[in-house]
Amino acid sequence: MNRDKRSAVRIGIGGPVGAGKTSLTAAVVKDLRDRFSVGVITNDIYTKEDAEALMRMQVLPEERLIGVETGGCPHTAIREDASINLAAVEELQQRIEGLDLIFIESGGDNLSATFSPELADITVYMIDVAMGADIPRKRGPAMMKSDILLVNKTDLAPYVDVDLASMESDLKVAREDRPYFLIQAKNNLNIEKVSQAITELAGL
Amino acid sequence: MVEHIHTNTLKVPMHTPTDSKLITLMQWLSPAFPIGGFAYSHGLEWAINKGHVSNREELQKWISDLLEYGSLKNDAILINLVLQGSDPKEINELAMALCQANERLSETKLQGGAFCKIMGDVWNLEIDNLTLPIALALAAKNESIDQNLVVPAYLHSFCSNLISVAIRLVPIGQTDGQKTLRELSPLILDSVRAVAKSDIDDLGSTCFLSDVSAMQHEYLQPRVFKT
Repeated sequence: MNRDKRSAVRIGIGGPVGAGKTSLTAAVVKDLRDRFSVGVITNDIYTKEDAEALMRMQVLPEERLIGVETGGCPHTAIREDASINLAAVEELQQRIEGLDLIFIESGGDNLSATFSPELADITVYMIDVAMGADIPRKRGPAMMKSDILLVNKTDLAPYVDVDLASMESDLKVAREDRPYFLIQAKNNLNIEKVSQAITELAGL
Repeated sequence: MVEHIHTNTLKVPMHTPTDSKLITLMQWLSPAFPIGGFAYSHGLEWAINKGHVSNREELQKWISDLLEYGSLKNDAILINLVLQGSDPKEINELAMALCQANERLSETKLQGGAFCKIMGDVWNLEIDNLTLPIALALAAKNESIDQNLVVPAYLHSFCSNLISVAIRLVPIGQTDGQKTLRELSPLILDSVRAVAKSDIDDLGSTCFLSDVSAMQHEYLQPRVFKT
């Protein structure tokens, strides 16, 4: 890597398939793109669909997005062998000089997924209420160790028999002093809090 | 009761240079070596999707052909040439020119680039911007590991990776995967012998379906693999 260029801060966004990682990326990037130079890398098992979704949502121009296929191994690609993502980071930084932030959206993980510290400086892990209220009690490295934890789709709680207050008290225990937010990525609820937490952790 | 063993009467095996060379090669060519190998199918994903490879027998035939007539034969010859003292820069250009598809080129360059980076970070060997077989050959040369070890180890690791692709995509079972690899082993050793007698004029591929698969993969949607 070229050390002369200032390196972008890399934010890993993990979470199970369907948690809303792409919607979150879209919402946070929309909030930050006027103040900072932002790029996005999406990992998808099947297609470059996530990158294309972000393009269709007109979140970022095409040259600031890279889609990476992971050979059916999304965990490996962010954890024990992040080479294909590191190559994508390098390519983005070569395309766009002076990038401040690069979001790396994982291709869908279970609760034990973690990002390699060589790939991500800051990690965000995301679940949604429809997955069940017991997920915070299951803990797991992603739940416990991520820098920011998000619970998405809180508007669905009444429809899936989830008591948000009790879910939140489990979250408090699991997270100890680390931040967590209850959000609705699609409705832009609490997104500015997430953006602020990210930029503070990034020192921007 | 266990009899006491007089250790001073046992022969203590000496560590030979081969042991350390073997261990170094095992590290470089392990699937855990972080060059992203798991994300590349060498066009096999397209062939599986189109039904050209749908069981263990077809997989074995597919990989055998690559070893005898295709890209793997070429890689083996290229490694051999570098280890025999040919100019690595020239051979690397040849390696790129021999890539029959755009994705073949990105596959070998991206893995080669990641390989070079680890060589710099862990072995203090400054190599950069090479295709995978040439990066490996130069690293091996630096550690005085000869082609009789490097070529079969490279081919074995490549075959193993392709089998892993088939295990994920066809799918075939893990036991059938191991049977395939075992049955390919004699062919790997044959190709080592063939490569020893080969030179630059023996380069070239007649694995047309594999080469076309690599080209077609570029337009395949949806896809699991980068290539």
